[in-house]
Amino acid sequence: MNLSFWANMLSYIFLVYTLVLMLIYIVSALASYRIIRQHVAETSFVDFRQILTSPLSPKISIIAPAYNEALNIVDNAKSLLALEYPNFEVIIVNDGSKDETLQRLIDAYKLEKTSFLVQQNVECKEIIGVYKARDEAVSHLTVVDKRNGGKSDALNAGINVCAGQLFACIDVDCVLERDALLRMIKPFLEETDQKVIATGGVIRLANDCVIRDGRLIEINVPRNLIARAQVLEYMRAFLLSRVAWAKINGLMLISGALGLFDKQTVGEAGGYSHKTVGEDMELVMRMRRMMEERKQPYAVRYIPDPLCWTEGPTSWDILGRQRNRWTRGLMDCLKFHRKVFFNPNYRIMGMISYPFWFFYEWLAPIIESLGLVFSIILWILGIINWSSFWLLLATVYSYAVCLSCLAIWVDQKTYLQYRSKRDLGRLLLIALIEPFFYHPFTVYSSIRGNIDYLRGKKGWGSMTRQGLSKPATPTSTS
Amino acid sequence: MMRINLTKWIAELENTWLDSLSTFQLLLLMLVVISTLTAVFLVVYIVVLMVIRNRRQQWADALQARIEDGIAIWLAGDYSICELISTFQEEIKKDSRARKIILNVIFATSKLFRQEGQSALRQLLTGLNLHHLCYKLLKNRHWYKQAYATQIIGQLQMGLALPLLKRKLQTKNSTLRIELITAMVALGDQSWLEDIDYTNAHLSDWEQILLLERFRRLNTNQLPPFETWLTSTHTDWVLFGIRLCRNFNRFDQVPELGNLLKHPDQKVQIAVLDAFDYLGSPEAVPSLIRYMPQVTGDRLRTTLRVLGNQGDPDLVSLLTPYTEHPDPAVQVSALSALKELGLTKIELRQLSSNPKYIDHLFDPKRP
Repeated sequence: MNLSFWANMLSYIFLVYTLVLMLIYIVSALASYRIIRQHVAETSFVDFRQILTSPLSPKISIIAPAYNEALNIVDNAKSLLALEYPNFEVIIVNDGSKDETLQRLIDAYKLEKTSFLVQQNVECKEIIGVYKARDEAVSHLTVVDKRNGGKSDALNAGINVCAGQLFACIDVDCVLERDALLRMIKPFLEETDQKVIATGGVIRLANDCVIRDGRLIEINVPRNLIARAQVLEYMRAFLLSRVAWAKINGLMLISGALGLFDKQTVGEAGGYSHKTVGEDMELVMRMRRMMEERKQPYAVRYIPDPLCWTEGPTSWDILGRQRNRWTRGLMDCLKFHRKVFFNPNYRIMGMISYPFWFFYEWLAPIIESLGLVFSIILWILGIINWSSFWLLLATVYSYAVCLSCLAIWVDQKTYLQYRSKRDLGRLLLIALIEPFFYHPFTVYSSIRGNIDYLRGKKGWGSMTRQGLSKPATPTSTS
Repeated sequence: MMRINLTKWIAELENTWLDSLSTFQLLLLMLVVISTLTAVFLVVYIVVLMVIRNRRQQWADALQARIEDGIAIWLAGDYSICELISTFQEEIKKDSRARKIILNVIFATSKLFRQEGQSALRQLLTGLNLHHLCYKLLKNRHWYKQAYATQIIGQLQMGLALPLLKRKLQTKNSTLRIELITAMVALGDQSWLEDIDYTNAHLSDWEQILLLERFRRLNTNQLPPFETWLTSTHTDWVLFGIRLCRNFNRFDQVPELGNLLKHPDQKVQIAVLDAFDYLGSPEAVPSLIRYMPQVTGDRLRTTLRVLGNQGDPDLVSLLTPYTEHPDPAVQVSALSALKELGLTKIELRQLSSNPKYIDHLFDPKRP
């Protein structure tokens, strides 16, 4: 009798948790669709070229850290230098690469070491040299050579060297849309009542897409099932969730692959942290906390246009390591900023965003795993209600498929990135099967991340990249 | 036989399984049904959308090509306007959606012509009664359709629509407001200036960029009296006034700009420094000298740079104390300014305790 009572109680807790999560997702998905439609209609009237000719355009510095990227670094630099913006500089930070990353850049752009006084605004390891090109055509390229200190350290070095009022942090191997900066600068220019401290953009997967000379030529759904599941996952995350969070100014994460930041605010907040592998999220949280504590009106904005294309992991091993790292980064961020948890002084961040990340981003895989263990225990004890079990499973599955279909529908109604019947068929197929093989793996990796975190594991772990539209080549991140 | 079995099975299911479900289980069942039906609906919608879109696209592409050809032949003189109108009217008779495509093509074509070339296209538009479609779009509840109609009206110089545009000027949608102002400027109407409250209305940097682009296309005598905005109580308008003074080389406003260095908003002060840097007027020097002791950081560095660019040797004694400023960045800026004022490497070495700064300033590879 007692056992049955507790079993029922726990079942209800799991159910309520699931229903609240489902409700949050559907509300944010519908809100996001509305916002995206409005955004698409509005941007169709915006002539971004006007920024190109305006003397009022603020200077932007693009900071791209590079570690052992010798193979693709010249092509990647070319892609960055060809971006459309009137007043920008590209700063590639060679983070103590062991390969020929620096030498290839020197050779390709005929760089010369220049005298450069660096203000140590934010903490970073020693800068060995700053290189500039003699050629006027690439005078906006700066290469910083520094001792190895990891991605956040390299970004901090870039912040110390850069001259722009705003800086964009990007992964050097990403492919940006030519007008990415023009689109991302707009929120900074539009606000009058509050200060925009950061803007993020949609990241999409470029596996199997055709890329030539640093430009995306043809968009395809990847053949690899793991990458394809990530395409859907990114669509759900970026199209159905973040847009709505940005609308209520509740965004706590700007992806490290592409983000535009106000340099002054970042400097005052202390730059990127060396203490975590989730440096992108940690910086945004710290900036937000600082603004809240100063009682300054601010906003973190988000552009729903697909602006950045990156390569997703195609093997279980690498995907596992990536998700493990993301979990550890999240745990660090939640730990460092636990002060804001349900703290009304931090308004949206304290009362909505942080609790959401705590309960539904960090705790969700744990609750899901516990639910599974709980069902097994009930089964062993012989008190499992099979109807409830199968119904709950069917609810979660049908809801997951429904949400994936919604993401595809939003994409079809707005940006129409995947146009062919073949791509659409592949996406719908993966929506049906992904909950059986991909989702369980990400939950497992997340649990591993929790365990590794408690064991005190630090560092990024190695990543093997295939290279976008290039032959497979192993590299590793710092 | 099969149907009887199925009916029997459903009845059994209702009597046994469904009846035995608790409220909690029924809720779950309901969620499964809703989610599944929604997913199926979305998939069907996507597929239908794709098929319809492809068909419509093919039809629209073919029609657009015919219209473009027709206009090209007309512009080459091989078609009279009456012939062209009757051809297009045939298309509209076949499918009324053709009106929108014809309007799009006329609008796109009009962008290729200068102002004087618009009258022929306007004649074509009126002949097809498409100007009424524009007016109708202007009254549409969606702002983006209104903005589109406004663009066409401005581009094709449809002066009759001016009162309609004026009525909409109070809109809160900034994109539409800018389109309306642009159209009114194109139609030679400056009355929008009277409708703007310079003491209260916000003006974002984005709007400033768009307006400046419009103003740059105007003759000097067509420009609004932006010098009056320098005294506005609203910072946005003061900023815009300063930026326009800089852009249109208003040297006569330098003393007024100098007074704005006392403005409490740092953005205004930085904009004034930027304007002084660009204009390079010696009249700015007294204001900058008064301003220099009150500021630190980037503003002080910019002030030093602007003074250095003046090239006036009398300023050397004034800038020299800053070579010992506690902020190393200010020291470098002061040394750089003194270099611009003509001091030699040896003279600068005597002023600075850090020879690295001097080497940096005189490095030929310095960016």
